[in-house]
Amino acid sequence: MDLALDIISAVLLAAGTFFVFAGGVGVMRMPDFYTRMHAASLTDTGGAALIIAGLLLQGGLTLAPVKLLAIFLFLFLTSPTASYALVNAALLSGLKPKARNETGLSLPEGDAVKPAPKLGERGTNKPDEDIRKAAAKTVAKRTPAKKPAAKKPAAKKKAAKKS
Amino acid sequence: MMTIVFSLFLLTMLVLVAVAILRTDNLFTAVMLSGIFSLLMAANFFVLDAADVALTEAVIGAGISTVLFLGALALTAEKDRSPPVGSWVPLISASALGAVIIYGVLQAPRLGDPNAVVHNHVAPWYLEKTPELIDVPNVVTAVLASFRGYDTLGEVFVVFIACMGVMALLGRVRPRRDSIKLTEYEERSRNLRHHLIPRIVGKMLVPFIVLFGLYVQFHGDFGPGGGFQAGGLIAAGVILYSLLEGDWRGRELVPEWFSSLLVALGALLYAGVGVACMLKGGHFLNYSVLFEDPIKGQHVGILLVELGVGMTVTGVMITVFHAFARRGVR
Amino acid sequence: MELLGLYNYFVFAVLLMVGLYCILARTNIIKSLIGLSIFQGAVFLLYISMDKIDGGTGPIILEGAPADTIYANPLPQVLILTAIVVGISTTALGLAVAVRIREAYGTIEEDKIQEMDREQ
Repeated sequence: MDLALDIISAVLLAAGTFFVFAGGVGVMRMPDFYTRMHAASLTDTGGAALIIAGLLLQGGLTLAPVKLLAIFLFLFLTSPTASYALVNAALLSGLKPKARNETGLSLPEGDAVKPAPKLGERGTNKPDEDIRKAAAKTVAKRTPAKKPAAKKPAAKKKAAKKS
Repeated sequence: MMTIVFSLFLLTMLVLVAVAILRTDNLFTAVMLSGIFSLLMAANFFVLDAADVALTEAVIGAGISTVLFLGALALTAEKDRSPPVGSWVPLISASALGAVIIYGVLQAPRLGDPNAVVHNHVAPWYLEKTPELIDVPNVVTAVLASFRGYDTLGEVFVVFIACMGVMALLGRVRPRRDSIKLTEYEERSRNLRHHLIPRIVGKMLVPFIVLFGLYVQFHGDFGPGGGFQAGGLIAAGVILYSLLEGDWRGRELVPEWFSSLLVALGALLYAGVGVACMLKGGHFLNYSVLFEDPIKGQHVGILLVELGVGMTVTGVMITVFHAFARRGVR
Repeated sequence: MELLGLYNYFVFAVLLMVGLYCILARTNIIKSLIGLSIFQGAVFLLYISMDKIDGGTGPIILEGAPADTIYANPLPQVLILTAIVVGISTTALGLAVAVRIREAYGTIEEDKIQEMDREQ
């Protein structure tokens, strides 16, 4: 039984080490910031989960595995949040991802996302002018098809009221 | 064997990070690397069997110090630095000093030698007498708070004076009502409220951080812990809340009068315990005379004194952070 | 092999040199403060390296421990615990002074500040 536990925890620890190593290699070799963050967040979640799982099996039935579970819960809450905050900050400060679609052309120029509201301005929820105009165009395109359908229930209601 | 390899690896990483701090141009990178330096130092301390010091270095070096550097960086707003001044003289003098130190160090006893001179005089006496005289499991807390209480009193006052200095330099005046309106102040203070995920996760974590700080404070007698670590942790929780919600709401949570009161009361509590011992007939800071049973007197004395230290360190860290944060709201 | 046992002290000497060089040869005030904290870290490393004993454990005397456990030396830990908090107090004060210098002179590079002082 002990031997089986040892083997399983050795396998889990080796897998966790491989994830951490892959995260490290990914950070060095990836071309762009966003892909590097994707590789780095692998270390926090996958690597930490497998290593802690491997250590849990070694702990037995004492208080130590409970503490390990608490550490794992804390890590699982905070490290994805940190990765998210980092990538969000990069996106909002204007760092554009290097992307190419299948035909080999790159993304059109221009801001990928609207930048964060400056000091002194409040971010509002009002939609952009051009989005509003595009929405108005779509509504205007669709309404002539709806009008004859809208007249029929009105005619039915008038007939119902008369009778 | 594996611990030797591990500690060699950690020490080499320390040197590499220090050289990287030296050579980088961007100040933001340098501050982040100094946080990593403190964390590696904390791991090193843990490998060297110093758990209290590792906890303190991790909380204060890697946590609070990085936040203060970033606050100052936001105010000075200079990201890059000019090329170095003619640097032959500093290089030669630093190398000469390093060579002298390495030559002196060659005669030191190797790491972990049980026959080293440093283990012979006072340390065995402390380890032997602590169960008899004080009966507290953590010897470091016993030495810090009771055997060497004067040093810790001086240290509390040094932290207090540093807080006074920062308040005098950066001002503790709240914005005057006639200069800008309060809603403008709230709008202008930077916050992370438009980032939903860090805000929710951060607000969930703040009570647990404060709870852990209180645990570390009161269990300093039985495990690694004590006043300094607890002060840093509770201050870190409050600073996290202020970073997420903005300076104004952070001030609503922990008002200015409260953090200043904490700073003053902590130092007063520490010195007051010493004076109470004198009033009861013993020496200054001799806790054995507080109660009939000297061991109970020691326990209560250590508890009150660590509480004083924790209160002062918490108040100082919160006050210094808010002094930096308020300066940036123009 | 003896040199390997002294590796901690060599690292201490190198870190001391790096910190000192950072203070002396960089003109930016905040960079000098970071170099000062590296210097302090090196001193902490020296003290804590002195407290380790082979086969020892942390200096916490638990109830059921056998009578001949070896404990690490508690004294350097006490000194360094105080020194860490004093270090951050001085760093905070230094940063406040740097912020005020920036507001008064408009820059935090020491050579430009000296030029401005000489011109006055």
